[in-house]
Amino acid sequence: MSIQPRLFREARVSGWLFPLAVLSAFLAGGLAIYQSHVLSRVISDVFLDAGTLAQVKPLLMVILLVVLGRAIFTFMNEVVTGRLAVSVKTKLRLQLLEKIDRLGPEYLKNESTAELTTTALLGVDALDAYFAQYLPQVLIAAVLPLTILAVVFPLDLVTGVVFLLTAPLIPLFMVLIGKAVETLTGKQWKALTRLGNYFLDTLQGIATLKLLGRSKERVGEVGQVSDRYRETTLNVLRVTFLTALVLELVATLSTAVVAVEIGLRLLYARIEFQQAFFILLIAPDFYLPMRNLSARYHAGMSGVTAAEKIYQVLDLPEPQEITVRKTHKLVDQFNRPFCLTLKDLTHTYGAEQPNALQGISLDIQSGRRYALVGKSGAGKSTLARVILRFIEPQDGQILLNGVDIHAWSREDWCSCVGWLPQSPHLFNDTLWFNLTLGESRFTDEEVNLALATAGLREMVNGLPHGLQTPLLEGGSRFSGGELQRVALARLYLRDPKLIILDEPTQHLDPSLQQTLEDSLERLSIGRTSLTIAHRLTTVLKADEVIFLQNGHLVAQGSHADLFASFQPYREFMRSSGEGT
Amino acid sequence: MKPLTRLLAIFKLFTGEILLSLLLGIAAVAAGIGLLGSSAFIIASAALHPSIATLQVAIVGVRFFGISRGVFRYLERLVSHSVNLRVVSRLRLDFMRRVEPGAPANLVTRQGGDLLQSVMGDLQVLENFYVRVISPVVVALVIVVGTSLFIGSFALELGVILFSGMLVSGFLQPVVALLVTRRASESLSRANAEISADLVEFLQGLEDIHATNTQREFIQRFQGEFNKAGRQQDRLAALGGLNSGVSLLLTNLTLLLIIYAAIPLVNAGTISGVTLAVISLVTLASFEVITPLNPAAQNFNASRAAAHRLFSFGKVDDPLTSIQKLTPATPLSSIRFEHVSFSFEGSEELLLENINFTLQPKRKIALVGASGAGKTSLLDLLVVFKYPSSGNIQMNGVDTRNIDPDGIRSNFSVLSQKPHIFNEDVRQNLLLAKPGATDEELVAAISQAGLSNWLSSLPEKLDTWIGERGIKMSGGERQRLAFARLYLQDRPYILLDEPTTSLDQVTAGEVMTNLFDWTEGKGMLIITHDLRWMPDMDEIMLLEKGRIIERGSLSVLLNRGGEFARMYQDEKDRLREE
Repeated sequence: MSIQPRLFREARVSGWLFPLAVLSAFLAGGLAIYQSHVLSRVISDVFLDAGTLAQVKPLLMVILLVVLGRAIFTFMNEVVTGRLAVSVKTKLRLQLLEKIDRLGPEYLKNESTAELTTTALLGVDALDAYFAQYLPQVLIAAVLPLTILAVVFPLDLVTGVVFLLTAPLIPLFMVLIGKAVETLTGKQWKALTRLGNYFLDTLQGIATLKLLGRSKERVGEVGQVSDRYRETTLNVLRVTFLTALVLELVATLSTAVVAVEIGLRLLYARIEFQQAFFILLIAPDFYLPMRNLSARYHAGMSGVTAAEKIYQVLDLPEPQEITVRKTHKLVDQFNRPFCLTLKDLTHTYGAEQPNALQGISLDIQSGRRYALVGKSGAGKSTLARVILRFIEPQDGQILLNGVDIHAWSREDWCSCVGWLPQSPHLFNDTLWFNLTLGESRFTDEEVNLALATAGLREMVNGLPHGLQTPLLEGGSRFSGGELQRVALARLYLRDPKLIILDEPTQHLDPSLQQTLEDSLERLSIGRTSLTIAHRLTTVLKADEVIFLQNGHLVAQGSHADLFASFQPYREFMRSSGEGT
Repeated sequence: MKPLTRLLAIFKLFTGEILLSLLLGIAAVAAGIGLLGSSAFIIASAALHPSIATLQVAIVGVRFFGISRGVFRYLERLVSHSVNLRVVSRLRLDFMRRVEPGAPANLVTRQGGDLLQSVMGDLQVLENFYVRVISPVVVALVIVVGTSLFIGSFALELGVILFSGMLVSGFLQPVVALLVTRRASESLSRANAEISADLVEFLQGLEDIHATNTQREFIQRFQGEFNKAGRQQDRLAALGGLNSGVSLLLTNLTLLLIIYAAIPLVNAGTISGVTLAVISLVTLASFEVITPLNPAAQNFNASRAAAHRLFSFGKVDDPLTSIQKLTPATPLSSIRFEHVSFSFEGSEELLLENINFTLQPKRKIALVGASGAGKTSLLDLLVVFKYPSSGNIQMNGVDTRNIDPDGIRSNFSVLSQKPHIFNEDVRQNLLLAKPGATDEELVAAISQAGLSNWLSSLPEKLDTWIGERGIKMSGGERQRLAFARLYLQDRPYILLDEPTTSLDQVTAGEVMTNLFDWTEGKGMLIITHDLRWMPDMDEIMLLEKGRIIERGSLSVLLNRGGEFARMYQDEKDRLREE
């Protein structure tokens, strides 16, 4: 219930659009009433006073003008409500994007939150109908009937009373029937979803069915299941359609009552023909806004459902950005010999879960290569993410040259610390875009140098459209190893001082493996690197090995030293060398 | 047959119900016209102060129309939705029947894209063809003719005016509007599709975006896209508004013209003043049938395109459907690939090239190689989801093209990369593998697949609803449920496509050890990255870019010191992190 006021506020803050939408609809409706009035005069003049064409011509001209006005206001209304929908949609979408950006990638790791975010972002389109059709209609349904009442009461009291008494019946019955439909669909929900999804489920599983030898039978069942679905659905519709029936009955019966009532009064000369005819003309208009509202109710409600998700995301608590006072420029800190000190880092993903990191303290010295080693779940990836500032650790501190890194913003930090994940995301766009990611600060020379470092120059030269070649089209143009190197070039382009790498575990063709390793080698020259190592060869290349077990840093030193002196490390390394 | 003709052929099956719904639809509109017409008659007649008896009939009429209008409309909606649902059922069954023989190959594009989304969308459009196109058009035609005749009976020219007015606004205008808006609405839906795809990418790539600090650039790019789509939507809204305005003008101009033409007739006494009042209200009321014709035109266009796409699935000249199936394939004592190559129709690129091997009972073959080497294509050929482009596959010495594919498949237990979990309970999901199996058998298979703990954690055990709308399963659980199906099937050949990708190393070890114990004596083909099982294999084939570049037993390959030996060493070099 708190959703609708919020949506209403979105409409209100969009400036003149919403008032204009309501005003234009109201004017179009008001003119229609006036048109009926003039029309009743024309008919009355001709009918009772033997008016000729020449006499009523001015009135006909008025009608023509009124009709033109109605057409213009109708046009205006659709333009304005359309714009309103677009502007609210764009605004909410940008808000969502910025919110998601502030929440960060860590938040999307969770499957259900990722799903929520996706539905919220893609569901924004469902707001179209809400703002363009439903919301203005709500106000019109409130205002226009009141106007008609105000016109009718002075003309004919009885009609006014009939209108006044019947109008509340409409929302009353809508609520009552709505409740009944809810209980009914609630009872049949399971059957409805199962039967309704049977066809798609079968299509999605057709390969599995064929392999199990069950596809022919199941296809036969699709017909039966659809028939059962039809029966169940019709049972629900029988009740659902009652809403429309009641609306229709209230409108038509009231018109009938009013017609007979004013007909009889006219018979005894208690009312003028012109007034009576006018009332008859506008009687259907009295109920029309409410009927239109009911017809748009469904569109409105799907908008509300979409909005629920959107606000759920927008209302999520955000990770606090802790900022200490700003000192020196971050790049300057990295440009001289530096030391990154991790102090007592402790982190857990949930109260019931064991600590992913437990009091990790470590110095990372500039110019050295570190290999992060340990079983899966030992905390390697968490540690990398904490250093990248994707995760804010629960406890502990990271200092750069003795200064808490919160002195610099996360954005600043990311421009100096680079990240090459195990499977980097490549965008369905050109090679150029995948390298620059939309930033315009890179020159052709810089991009070419990055490509050369990644060992991609030759391949790019052979492409028909060079850097403008779409990267993922057809899926087969680039191999897994090449895509990995595109990500590497992307990283090189940004010239990070400290790079954190998660080595790919998946098997690449041996030749590709070698090229990738060479490219990584070139990238690492003159930089400090921390690699989550999955291969012995990588460990051997490191200056220093950091060995993690269950979130603890248990040993640190060169591979040779550790292997010689530290029993658990030796065991870990041996188990890997054995094969099967 | 033309797509729309085929669609209409389906409607023909339900002629009775369709006629009923059309009659009810016409009756509902006619009652609305009757209500206003007779009301106008009462009021106009009353103005002449006759005796009440002259109004009696009209008063009864008003009451009748007042009640029947809603009731007719209610019944019409029920019947037309019933027609709709019957058509749904028919279309789906029909589609399934046509698609099943060539599935799943005919449900994906060459790029591996999924066609299901578009199929479902098209079906939805066609399902509403009756309610949104046929019914409004037929009802409108009948009412247009009917009211024109009624009004024409007072004076011919009035009928002609009404007829032309309704024809222009009901049939000409929607077609013009459709032509005018088509380009804009097409580019809007393209822009929207692009936005959706980019939004999904933004979420998927958020980590990389953060790490490269490019969120500003992305959001700016989105802003541009939103504005572009927004402009299209504005244009469409303006065109839509124009259309509504013109509709309103046409309706009222028709009314004005009729009154304009009728006034001299009243003055001359050709028609009475009462008639003038009735005619005006009947005209206004009859335009009710024109409103749904605008969307009907849009819908007609969409339906034609949808029918065209949908009915082109599973054409009769599909090789998989047209061949006479001759030979049964059980018991299957050998499978031979002879010079088998495969490429998609119209593509130069060979996905498999000159593959030769023989699979027999008790023989275990491993297929290894980097992703994209053609391993899964080979499996598809083996289970006859596709036929080779050249060369042939022989089963018991007979070309597979001459054997019933279902018969061939009944020899294989297959664990595919993405086993589908149906939207049903656990029991139903397993019974697919062995109809009539007892609960004990199911539980045994589950435990053999290493899923006992999972089963006991379920709220309703075997009756627990799983699949898309039921309890969510992890990738590893799905894979092991597929293992359970495999055990239940118990067929002479086992084909495995990356059986352990979603399992951790320890679980993978247990599951595979169980499997190897169980497959003694069976023929087996395993596609895998995991080289731990290689010592159990009789033959290892290394596939690269569709060709077998090395083959032989493990010891032979290791002694040769080629590509495979390097891979094997590389695998050993990997740290055992589990």
